[in-house]
Parts: sequence; C-alpha cells; structure tokens
Amino acid sequence: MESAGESETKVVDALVVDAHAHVFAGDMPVVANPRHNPDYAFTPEQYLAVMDAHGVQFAVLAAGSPWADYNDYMIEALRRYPRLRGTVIVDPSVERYTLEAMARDRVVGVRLSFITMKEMPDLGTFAWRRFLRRLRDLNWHVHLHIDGPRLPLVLPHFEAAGVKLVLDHYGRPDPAKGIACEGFLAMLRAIERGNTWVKVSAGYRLGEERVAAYGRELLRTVGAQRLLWASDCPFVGDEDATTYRRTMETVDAWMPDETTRRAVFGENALKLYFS
Amino acid sequence: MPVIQATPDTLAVDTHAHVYTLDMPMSGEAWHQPPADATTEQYLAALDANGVGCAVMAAASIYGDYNDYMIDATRKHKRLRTTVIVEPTTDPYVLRAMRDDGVVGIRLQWRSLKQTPDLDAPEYQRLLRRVRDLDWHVHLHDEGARLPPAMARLEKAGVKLVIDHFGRPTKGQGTQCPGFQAILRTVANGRTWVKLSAGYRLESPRVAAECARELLKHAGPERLLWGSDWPFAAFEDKVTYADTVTDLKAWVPDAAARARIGGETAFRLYFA
Repeated sequence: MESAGESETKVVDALVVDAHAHVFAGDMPVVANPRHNPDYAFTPEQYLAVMDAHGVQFAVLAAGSPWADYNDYMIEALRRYPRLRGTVIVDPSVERYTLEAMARDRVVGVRLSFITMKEMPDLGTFAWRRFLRRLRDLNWHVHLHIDGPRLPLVLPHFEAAGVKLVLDHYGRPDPAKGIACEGFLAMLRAIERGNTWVKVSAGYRLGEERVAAYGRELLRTVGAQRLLWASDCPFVGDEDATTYRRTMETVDAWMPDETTRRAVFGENALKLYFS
Repeated sequence: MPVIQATPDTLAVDTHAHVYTLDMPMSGEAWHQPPADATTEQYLAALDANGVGCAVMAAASIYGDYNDYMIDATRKHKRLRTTVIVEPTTDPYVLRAMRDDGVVGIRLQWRSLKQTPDLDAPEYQRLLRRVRDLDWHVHLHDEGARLPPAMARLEKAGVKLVIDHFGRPTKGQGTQCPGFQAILRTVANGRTWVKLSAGYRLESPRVAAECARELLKHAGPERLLWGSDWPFAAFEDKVTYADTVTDLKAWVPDAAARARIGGETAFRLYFA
C-alpha cells in the first residue's frame, strides 16, 4: 500500500467514487478457514487519506468474508463519515427492523460471497425469497462475489426477485474462456435488462491485459451506464501487487472518451449508491 | 385516533381483512393462490365506499412471516392496525418496534397446518408472555374441533384471545361443536372475543345465524367483533363487501347491539 499524498496529478479530473474498498481492525473476530486473514489494520481514517490523495470524493465499503457478519467496525465508519456507504454480510433470516436500522446507518446492500462456498444456498426457499424481497423493498442491492461460471445458476433468482444486482470484478469470467465464458455472457444479458451492474475492478488479481479486454467488450456490448470503477483497496492478500493509482490507470487506459470516463469513475456509482 | 361512530347502516371497524400483492414471496404452505392484487389502496377504497372508518388486517398464512406489506400500511395509515405471523423466537425489540408501527397481535393461522405447534414449549410460553406484556392479543384461526386444547393453553397464559370466523364449527355439528362450546365457556373470562365474520365459509347461512344467536346470548356485544374478511379469499367472485355488512344485520337485528359490535368493542380492543 502506497502512503497517502504520493500522487501529484490526478488520473481522473472529475467526481470519483470508489465502489469497493475494505476497512478493518487487526483484531476483529475471523471465521474458521478465512479466505484472507490480514494481520494489520486498515482504518477508515487511513482509507479516507488515500481517497483524498487520489481525488476520490465518495466510496462504498464492502463487507469482507473473513469477518462474516461482524459488520460492526465498518458500520461505525459509515456512521462517522457521510462520504461512505457500505454493504453488509447478514443471515437471510435477518429482521426487517435490523435492515432498516442499518439503512439509517448508510448501509446500501448485502454482500453475498458465494465465491468462497463450495455449495451455494438454495435461493428458491421462502427464507431467501423473503430476504431478497426485503432488500428490494429497501431499494438495496445484492453485492455478489461469485466465480463467473456459476453465475448462470443464481442469476435467475435475483432477477425474479427484482432486486438490483452488483457483480464484483468484471463478473470473474473463467480465464481460459474470457469474454466467451457463459457467465460473462449471462452477465451481459442481465446488464442489458437494466437491473445489474458490474465493477471494473481487481485487475491486479485477474490480469491487467485480460481485464482490459473484458472492459472493452463490456463497453462494446452494453455501454458504460452499468460499469463501476472500484479500487479493491487495500488489496487484501496481494497488498504489493498494485497501487491505488494503478487501479485507476488500468481502467482509465480503455476509456474511449471523457463522457465514458465520468460515468464509469463516478456518475454511475453516485446514482446507484448515493441517491 | 378520531372515533368514528357506527350508525344503523354502517360499521365503524372492520376487524378482519387481508392486503397483499401477487409479487410478494409466498411460503411453501400456501393453500390459496389469489387471483389478483388486494392492495392497501384498494382496501381503503372499499372501506370508504362502505362508510367504515378503521380496520384491522390479518396476517395471511400464504405469505408466512413476510408481514412487511401490512406493516407498511399501518405505518402510513393511522386508521389501520394489523396482526402478524412471527417465529416464537422473535426478538422482543422487534416485537416492540412492530407495536410502535401499529401491530396489535400475533396470528396463529393454524387451520391449514397438519401439525400445530406446542404452546407449552418454552419458546411459545415466552412468546405468549411477551404478547401479554405488550398488551397484544393472540389471533387464532383453527378448525372447531382443535380449538379447545389451544384455548385452554392460551387462557392459562393469560393473553387476550380473538377467535376467527365463529370458531369454524365442524360440519354437521353447528353450535354443538366442542370448539364452539368451549368458546361459549371461555368468553366468561373477559379476555376472549369472537369474530362474526366470513359466515360464507361456514356450512350454511343457517348455521352462521344459529352460532350468532348463541354468541349474542352467551358472550354479548362486548365480546363480539365484525369483520368483512375482504377480499374474500377463494370466494372472490361470490361475496361483496356490502354482503358482509348485510350479514351482520341479519345476525344481529338489534341496531344498538350491532353498533357496539361494529364500533366500541373493536375500538377498545384494537385502538385504545
């Protein structure tokens, strides 16, 4: 992680919203067999300093799977800083009243980290349909992290529920098949139907050349209106693989014009998360 | 809450109706597939068209504990109250939040269940105590024959009890149904009310009229309530709102008794 105040010139000279970042303390309770287990803290104050150093006005904090539904630290940050929104991890049986209290604290969605699950839950049960309906009632979104090939298995349930869906990291297509991956194609069709968004993020995890091809294909097929730039800061598990500035540059590289740039880096996210 | 008086021709409180939209999540046990939306706005229009001021909505089993749509309605419209279906383990803070939103009781919608929950189980004993602490009521819908044991347990728990639809006497037994007889005995405890509603669900108009007569005699207008049962699930095309008002006139010919049933008794129970 680079230190704050390092960037001299802005990559994007417009309103910028980071649609995906994590904050955590080093001593939070961790689930058994976590996907990652950072041994350091990344506080909201540290993150806000990074945002400021890169001309980023607003951001959405993502619940992290290592801490499951210990959303408490993140929610404290949301309460303190109006520039932030967040997604939480909750059990589908969560009460409406709890969700509403979270909404007052600036939570805007629920993160489903299916990528870590061998068996995905049955989204057709009453408990899940009730849950997805409540998210829709709140005008929240489902923030889904899933490996692309499995996306077609769950997509129909989210679409039937009428809830907004935000996919992480280009929809994580099968790297061998890339833009021909069935999951990627299913994602494109869902985006066209209007209730699905995708984050152009985590290029450092997926391969920067690869994601440029994904990004261009997204622009060519579905346009810019459902694309959201995100940093994935502080790059948990791969902290030295990239820099905050580089996460902006790798997306900026395939922006064809200023209108697209403004949409992908800020305007789309502002509409989705902050209005 | 402005008290709207019942008049000889209108009733003030409709104590039983359902609101829903077809796109709500249905539970696995759904016994009925409604043919159309029954929205809050449509229901309020039906109330207005029939001169009814206030109403209590009943949680419908087909939507399980997705009470959210009804709670939206009670939040928005102070003339409405509702009962809810909840898990016995529901957190007391959630119950209190529901009360603040206009919830007045829990519905035990048991008629469609093969196996009914054990009210003696600790989690139900705790729920019933919470219902009592909140000054809520238990809103029980079950087949007549199964009422006596449930009523005995609810009486012991000290909760207010509202029985749906004349206690649904078993076919062929009418007022001699053990459940109906148990109601006649239990109303004496002063915490039990019976709805003169959904007569069309009983085996015949004659049985409904006989049950009404017995209830008037033993329970009196201070223990009886009227409900339309709008939108008349499974009878959508056969019953109108006006029919249900007319039914009550036939069951309770005395205008003063009818005004108490359709007004004061319900106000005291649900809106006080």
